[in-house]
Amino acid sequence: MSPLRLGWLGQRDDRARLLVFLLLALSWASLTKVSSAGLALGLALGLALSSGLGPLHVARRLRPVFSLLFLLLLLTPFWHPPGAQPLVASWAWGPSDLGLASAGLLSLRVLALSTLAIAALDVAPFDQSLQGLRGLGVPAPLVHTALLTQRALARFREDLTRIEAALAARGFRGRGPSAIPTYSAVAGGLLVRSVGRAERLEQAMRCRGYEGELILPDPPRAGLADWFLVLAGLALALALPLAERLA
Amino acid sequence: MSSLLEARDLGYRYPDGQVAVEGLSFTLAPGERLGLVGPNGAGKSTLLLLLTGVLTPSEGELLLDGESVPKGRLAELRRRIGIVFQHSDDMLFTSRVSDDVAFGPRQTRLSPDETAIRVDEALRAVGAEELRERVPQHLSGGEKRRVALASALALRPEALLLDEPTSDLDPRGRRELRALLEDLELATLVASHDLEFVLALCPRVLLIDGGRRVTCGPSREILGDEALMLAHGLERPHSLTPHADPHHPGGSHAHAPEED
Ligand SMILES: Nc1ncnc2c1ncn2[C@@H]1O[C@H](COP(=O)(O)OP(=O)(O)OP(=O)(O)O)[C@@H](O)[C@H]1O
Ligand SMILES: [Mg+2]
Repeated sequence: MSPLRLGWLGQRDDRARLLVFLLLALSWASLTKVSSAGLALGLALGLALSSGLGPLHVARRLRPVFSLLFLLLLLTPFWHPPGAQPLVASWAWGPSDLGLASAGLLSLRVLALSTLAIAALDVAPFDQSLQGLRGLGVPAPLVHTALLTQRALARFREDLTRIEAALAARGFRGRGPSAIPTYSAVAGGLLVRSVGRAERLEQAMRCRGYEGELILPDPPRAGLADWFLVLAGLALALALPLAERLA
Repeated sequence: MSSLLEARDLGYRYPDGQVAVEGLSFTLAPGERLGLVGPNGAGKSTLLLLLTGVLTPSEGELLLDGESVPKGRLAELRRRIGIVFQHSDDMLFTSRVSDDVAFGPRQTRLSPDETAIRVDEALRAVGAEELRERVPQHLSGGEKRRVALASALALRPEALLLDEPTSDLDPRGRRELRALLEDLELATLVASHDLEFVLALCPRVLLIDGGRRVTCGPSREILGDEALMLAHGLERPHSLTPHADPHHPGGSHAHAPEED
């Protein structure tokens, strides 16, 4: 899932990468113009693609966002804020010009922020990003919980894939009401398995010195390129809202 | 004989009441390789977990270097005794092999430099240097096992406990593991159904059944005793069959215990 060979962004200090992400997210969430939101989306895409994430990967990750936006796009154009003109003169309750504009702005903003999050998190292994958060001062218990949850979920997914393959190998189609008992059995089995797994995983960790507190490696010292990344991020975060003001 | 690890009347009962180990005593000498054999459910895995301090004995005591390890100090046992689980998957949980091997040294608060040395050393010992940057979950069964072994070795344990170490190895992997364990010259307890492997690696075996010790002694003697082996759901290794018939590898198939 996470790329093994890290792109330029993944190689940067995790703290710098996450800080830039936070700065840009804060700034882009308040954009008010379709043009600047579009530009933000372009920048986020550029960031993601240039640091080694494939277009397919980005598209796959954005799929749930698209389904969410679909509903939004269906309804928002029918919104008539004060001063809005219907697009079709004879259909007063139809889509309005301002409604359409806000639907566009909203979806561009959501897409830009989601793509930015993908670029920030998928360019490096998740546990590395979590260590970055720790480095930015997020409390240790929170980071450790997230780390262990992520590992448990990864295990859960592996089990699920394996069970699905085993079911498919025995001709299970997974459709219709007759599949329901199988699914509930699988869910129960998975739960029992993951509890057993978690127990053995903890035992394995204890065998290697874990006594209830995870010790993460110190983040490497930030280099010149990392500082440059933070500065560039800050400049970019300021630039778009400022441009909107001036225009 | 001085002992590195000793169990005295060790007993363990799982919370659901299942007695898995009962009145078990034996010793492991420094540098000794001891085989642990017994049928399914004999209590081998449970015994290993007891010896490494993961489970707390319900009865009896454990001695390390001749000194009793009180129940409150099992953490020390965990640091000094390395274990490789039956399923390597249960031991590997980070997103990079090198991180997994570094886990132990980090938890015991070794410096980053020392940690790096330990990781190199352990990966080299198991011949897995080229796996260093791989994702553990994507490795083959045999590769995972080597990485799991490396992660135990990274703590430079005084003894190594292995649970079914050959279960997912091909013949070459098996040979390599044997050579590796012989080279390590570490006190090793090998729980396995692979009796040929045990015979080749361990001069002495401990046979248990139903959580109790049946016997302990020279491997050739115990594993070669067909009646004893059959009585405990095992089978004499082919290489110990008096007139091994080349047309019927496995020798005593007529008397083979049922597969489970
Ligand atoms: N978590 C558990 N809870 C309750 N009983 C358990 C648990 N784990 C094992 N047992 C029981 O304890 C006994 C010993 O199990 P153990 O796994 O130690 O045997 P084993 O010799 O390792 O078997 P195998 O050769 O199949 O690996 C068995 O009867 C088993 O059913
Ligand atoms: Mg076992």
